[in-house]
Amino acid sequence: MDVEGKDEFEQEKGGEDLMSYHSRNVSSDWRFGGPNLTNPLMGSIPTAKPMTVCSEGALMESSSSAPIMDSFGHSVWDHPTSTSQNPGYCDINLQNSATTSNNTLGIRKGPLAPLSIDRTVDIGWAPPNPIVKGGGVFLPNAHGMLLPHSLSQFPADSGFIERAARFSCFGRGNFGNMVNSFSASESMNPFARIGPVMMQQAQEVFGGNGLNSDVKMNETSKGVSLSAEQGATTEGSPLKNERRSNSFGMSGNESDEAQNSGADGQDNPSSSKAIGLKKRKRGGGGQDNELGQNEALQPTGEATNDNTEIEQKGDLTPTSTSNKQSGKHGKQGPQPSDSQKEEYIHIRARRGQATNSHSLAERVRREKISERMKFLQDLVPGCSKVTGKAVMLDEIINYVQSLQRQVEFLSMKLATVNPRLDFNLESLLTKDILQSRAGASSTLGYSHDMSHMTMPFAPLHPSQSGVPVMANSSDALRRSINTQLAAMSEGYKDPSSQVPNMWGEDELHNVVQMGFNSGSNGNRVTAGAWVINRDMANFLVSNATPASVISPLSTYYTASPEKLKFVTTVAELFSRQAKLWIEVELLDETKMRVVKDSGMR
Amino acid sequence: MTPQFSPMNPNSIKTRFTHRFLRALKRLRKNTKSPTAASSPPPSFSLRYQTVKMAADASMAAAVGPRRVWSRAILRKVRSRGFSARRIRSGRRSTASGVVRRIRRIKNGKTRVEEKIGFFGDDHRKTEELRRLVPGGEEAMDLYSLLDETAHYIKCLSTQVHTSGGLKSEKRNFGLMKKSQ
Repeated sequence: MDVEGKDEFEQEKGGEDLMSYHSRNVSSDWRFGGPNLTNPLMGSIPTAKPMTVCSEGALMESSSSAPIMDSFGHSVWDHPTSTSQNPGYCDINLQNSATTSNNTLGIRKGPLAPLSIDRTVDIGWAPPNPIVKGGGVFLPNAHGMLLPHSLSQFPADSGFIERAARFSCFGRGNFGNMVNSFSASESMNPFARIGPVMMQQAQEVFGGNGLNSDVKMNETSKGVSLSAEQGATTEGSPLKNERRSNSFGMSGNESDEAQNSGADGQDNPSSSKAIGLKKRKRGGGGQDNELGQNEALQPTGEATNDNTEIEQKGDLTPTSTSNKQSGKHGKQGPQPSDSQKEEYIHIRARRGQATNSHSLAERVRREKISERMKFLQDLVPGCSKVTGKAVMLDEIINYVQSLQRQVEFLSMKLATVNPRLDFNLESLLTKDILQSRAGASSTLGYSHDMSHMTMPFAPLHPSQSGVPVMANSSDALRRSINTQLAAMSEGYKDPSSQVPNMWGEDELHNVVQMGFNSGSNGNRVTAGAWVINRDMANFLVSNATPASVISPLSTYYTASPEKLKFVTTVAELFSRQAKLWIEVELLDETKMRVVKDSGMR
Repeated sequence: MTPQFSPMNPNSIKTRFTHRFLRALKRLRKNTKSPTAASSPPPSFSLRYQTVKMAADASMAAAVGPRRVWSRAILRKVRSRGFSARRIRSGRRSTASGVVRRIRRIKNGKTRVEEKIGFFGDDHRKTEELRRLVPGGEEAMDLYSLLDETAHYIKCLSTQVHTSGGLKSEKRNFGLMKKSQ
């Protein structure tokens, strides 16, 4: 029946053979589920081996489901302990999703929405108890998340149902990972049928794993229904038929689900999970709910990796498998008897990608992380061109350091002027407007890598004045300003504040020009708008002690003797010159201009 | 510069932070002003500025709330600061992070199995450094959550910087007025 599906899974799994699968199921399932898994399942699943739900699935669908389940269970069982270890990884998502609904077993496509699991898919899972267990492995916490959804892609045959059951076992945890790709439409139908059974089983299974209380409740209820389910194939069959029909129509559905999952993935895991779950639910509402619950029971602690794997599998080949799935659905059609043929959320490995469970999980994690990196790229200015995680991390680290230093610097300034001011909250809040003007001031204190700094210091306005004669003091000031600019204006470009160039002071001109002339002192300052604004000058003036000035400032740049010396010079200069305030704006890498001169003496 | 009142979201982090920060600064100012100038020298600049910085961080963390790992870490440090006044800086790095690191290592013994595949070498060093930078980063086990925290932290830091800069400009104006008198 699920030959296609199986093949796919086998490909993914690297051909886990059924035998190993079953045996493993038996043994590994219990690893996850523990006694809980066995007990409820054993009683409820007549055919199931007493040992595990998975075994049940094995019994049910030894041939067909095995490969699929292998694919799932393999990953699941390989990481029996990982689930507990990666609670944060998948649990969070699962919990989010779990809260959304028990019933919707939709499993979302992985990377973005780790734990969005289509509950509907899970619901279909009920019957395959063994699958439930496997699912449980995957889904540590997702109460609502039912794993089986991840198996949505399973063909509706019993084998898939088994797998779905397994995954539902896992389900709580990483359903989100499990993903939409389980274009569950197909799987949903079969899962719906299996769902109630599986859900119960899964719930029970998960109960052992400390699933949510909801799950436990479901478990108990499911446990009862599980046995009932088993016999109630007729019940399942109509659902299955429903699902099958849905699934048939679904190759489009799959894509829809995949899309949903994809879209959901981008949302918050919880919300996406909820959505995905709801979307997954097609037909077979009640049973789906039950199934979903069962699936939610999926073992909590199971390795998130497994979940991710499952998700990945689903994610990976939504499109490629769509055709297959439609074929599978066709297969499902003729096999109504098996209530286990619920939709599974399959994680399919993309063509040409390794199907090792480890690599799949790894891939999911990488995708998630790369998504985060892209987001951070937007946050960190000037990182759009940067590619690669290492470089990106470097940039992020530098940016965080710069921001922290900026805060330090600003607080330092505030500390100096603190006693003298009354705060006007409103005006402060409206400072943002002003701040945009003086936006460069915030760049002060960035201590970026010095390597990033280029000292442009080209003449700001060559037209403004002829190169003035450099007075000694001006020279010193210029140098100090240059140094400070170099030190403090680090790498992050701020949009140059378009402060009109207002200087008319000769001294300023001198300073500026000299700054430009000395621009080639080797300091590199990144282009940006830097302002040694009045505050800075004021600060320096008010704290005339060089030491007091240097110590805080030294945090903003890697201390080097000349820089400290320059800072000292600036402090002295300012104090001596009685508040010569200068605002300098760095237009670009080659130009700097004095924005404003306080003119105060 | 005539203040122009732009509509501000009353619930944004920026607003919350600004309110808290201003309150903290006012409190600090009162504290520094209350002792008469003759009685005790004004607190050293470094202490003052560290206090202000701490106030800024604390107010930002309080504005964010305990939703984020890093805000929780900062709040923890602030509270522990009450016990030991000068442990602001050191506490940031040594005690909490040391303990957390240990715990993390133990926990990571197993989780690392999966992570190691992709994150050996430079990545590890960088992530370690990022953990040190971001408050509470020590506790964020996996890279994904760490990056999440980092993104939020960056956003809040920028808010802090912008607001402080605005405050600074405001002060500057006042300061100018004062100076001119």
